[in-house]
Amino acid sequence: MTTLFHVLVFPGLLYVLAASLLVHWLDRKLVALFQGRVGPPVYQPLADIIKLFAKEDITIRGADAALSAVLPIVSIASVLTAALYVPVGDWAAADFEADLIVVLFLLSIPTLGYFMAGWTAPSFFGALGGNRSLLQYFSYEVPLLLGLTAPALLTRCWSIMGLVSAQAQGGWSVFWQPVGFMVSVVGLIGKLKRVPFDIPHAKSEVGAGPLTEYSGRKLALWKLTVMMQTLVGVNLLVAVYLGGGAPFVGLAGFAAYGLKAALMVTMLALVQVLFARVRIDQMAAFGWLYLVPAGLAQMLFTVWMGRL
Amino acid sequence: MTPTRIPIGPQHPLLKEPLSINLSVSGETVLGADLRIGYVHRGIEKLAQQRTYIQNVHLVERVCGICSQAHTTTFCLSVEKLAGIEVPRRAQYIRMLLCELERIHSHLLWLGVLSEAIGFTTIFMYAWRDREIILDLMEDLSGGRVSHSATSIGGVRIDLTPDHERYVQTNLAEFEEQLKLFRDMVLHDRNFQARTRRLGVMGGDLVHRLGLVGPTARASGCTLDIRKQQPYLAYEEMDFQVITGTGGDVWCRAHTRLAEIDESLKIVHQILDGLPEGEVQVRAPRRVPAGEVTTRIEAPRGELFYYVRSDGSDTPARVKVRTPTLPTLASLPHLLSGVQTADVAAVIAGADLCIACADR
Amino acid sequence: MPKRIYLLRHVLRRSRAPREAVGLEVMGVVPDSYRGRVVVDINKCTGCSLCVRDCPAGSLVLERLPDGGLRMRYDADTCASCGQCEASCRHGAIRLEARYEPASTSRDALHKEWVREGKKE
Repeated sequence: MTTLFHVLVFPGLLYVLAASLLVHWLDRKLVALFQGRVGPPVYQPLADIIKLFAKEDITIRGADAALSAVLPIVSIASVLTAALYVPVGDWAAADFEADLIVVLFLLSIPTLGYFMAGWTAPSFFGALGGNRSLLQYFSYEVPLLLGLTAPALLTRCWSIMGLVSAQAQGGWSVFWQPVGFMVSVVGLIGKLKRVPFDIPHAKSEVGAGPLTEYSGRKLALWKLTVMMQTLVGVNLLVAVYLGGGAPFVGLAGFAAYGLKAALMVTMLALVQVLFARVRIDQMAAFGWLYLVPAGLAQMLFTVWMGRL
Repeated sequence: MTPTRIPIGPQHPLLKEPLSINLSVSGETVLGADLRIGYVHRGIEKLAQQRTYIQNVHLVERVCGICSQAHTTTFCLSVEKLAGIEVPRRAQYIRMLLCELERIHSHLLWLGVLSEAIGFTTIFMYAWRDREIILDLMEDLSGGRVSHSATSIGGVRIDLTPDHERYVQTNLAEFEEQLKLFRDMVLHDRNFQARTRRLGVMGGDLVHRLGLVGPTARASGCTLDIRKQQPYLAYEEMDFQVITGTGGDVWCRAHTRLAEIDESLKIVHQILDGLPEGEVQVRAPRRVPAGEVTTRIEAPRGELFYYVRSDGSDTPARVKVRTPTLPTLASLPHLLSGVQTADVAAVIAGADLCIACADR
Repeated sequence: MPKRIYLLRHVLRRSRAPREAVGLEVMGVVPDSYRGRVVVDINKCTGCSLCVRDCPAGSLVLERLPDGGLRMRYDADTCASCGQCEASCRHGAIRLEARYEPASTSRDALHKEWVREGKKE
């Protein structure tokens, strides 16, 4: 039963906040270690957010002040809402039938918000970054959706908690649908705008992209949104493909989930270290020519297997 | 679609030094570029007329950070020609050593900058970390990482003890081990090649028309290398090859520069093995006899040209510097027309610009 | 993917290399040949002023005191640590020490002075 404690503390608001800071730190630390550097201390993401909150919040002339204030709030609110339904280990703050689809929808709101943020300010960097992020959204949302719904087709279960319990009995989906797993991972990298798909905020081309003109509290909210999207994305992948807390339950299940999530973050960090940025047209080509057919093939294969 | 103007610079995350490039873009294709330079102009040539030759050695060292040894060497060679000073061979060898070490770390810096521009941060971190091996070497030899204050009129101010030579050999062995990564990357990395091949192609006719020099020109088939054409210091005694490439795209320039690092390492080993005995400095007169002289050497980016005119006093009457980056800047509008906006970063970073040199 | 294996090998090899983030107190450690701040041994100075003439930045000022002594003023603010003064001096009175001190909290701390009293009749 969902109580206020579940929503506000664990595995809700406070836990998501703390866990996203921790996951962000782990990512940065791993990338640094792979690159031969030392990396930040564990409190660095928190220090960054606190520092940003203390900075002046400037809205440049010609920018739509109301819209630029609303966008980060709506984005972070949707990510937090999505986080309520994604289980950690065995526990989810709330769940209902078909919450997988709702979560996927909620997770796409920040991406739209990100694109619109580029349009609220009369900045060249923002507009160009926004355009690119929209193209990236079209190229990577579809594979991600295809990849994440494939296990639901397999287990005929459309709630995430249901998927977790189904995997506890039938085996982890990653073994049944490895192609779908790869498609989801690449789609997640594209959605999170990480290397090699970090075109919208490619420093050497468009500065910070859509967020170039943001500062202070609003920028802190955007950064938090990105961190939480990473956490929820990783959680979702672990729950849908890697069995959540299986084969353990309860506290041991939570520990198992933590280990799997750390492994996913390591994989993402390794990809960040090994690749250069792809060009926007190469990225779109890759998304539509390779990922979408692979995802479709996986789904069709699952349906055909289910008929047997 | 009407063309839009995209400003790159003077402040831009892509540029290491201020430079203004105004692109006019239609859709995703660049139609042309409008260049403005002079943001780092410090009036070096005018300042040089107000300082003595001894002071000018340090002034020209600070024209540029990564070509510092090239500028100092050229200036000292010019003054020595005017004053008729014969520099001892040991000093020439040590000057060559510093020049080649500078060429190596300059090329590696460029590789890091290009990788960062295309988003390959890992290679950027590794390249600049390996540069530190060379910079630590320079610091141990001369007391400074980037500005060495080692060359003076009449010779060099530093000397190599046997300890130094051992230290250099060990560090270079470690450095050569680290270089394998960059060779592997340029040859095998499909991601890197997808971002740099067939990009910013410079044909031989453009090279001749604009007078391009250096590894950029050599990657397009030009065979000009001052070290072979008009040997200075003791280069005629060194055995090395001039690296040329055919292709003229950004990838070819990366390949050329990496091969040049190998040739420079060969030269450094020959210098250490064959270092002649003797003094490292001769006394130079403070008043330089009247006359005019031109000197050119192969800086990391190409031909560096100095004209020095003396009127018999201890301050030069005119010092004229032509740096190799100037024609490269002139070629940028040609290179940029027709590329996608996403590739602009790779083209600009791949051109190895040293704006401080160009603006003086 | 085979094309990534080469980079993965290098990444794993380099990740194991030692790395250190040093604190400020260790940052002052430089090799002996490092060119840092200028130090004057005023007793060896003969007042020839070659160092003053040759300094590219004009950081040195030498004056003869009325009692026959010498005063050398040095401005670490404009000094570029090029070492020309050390090279120009024929008496070994001025040299660069291997100290690494990039900043100071007051401008006065950057101005140094060495005085030698003259011989009284």
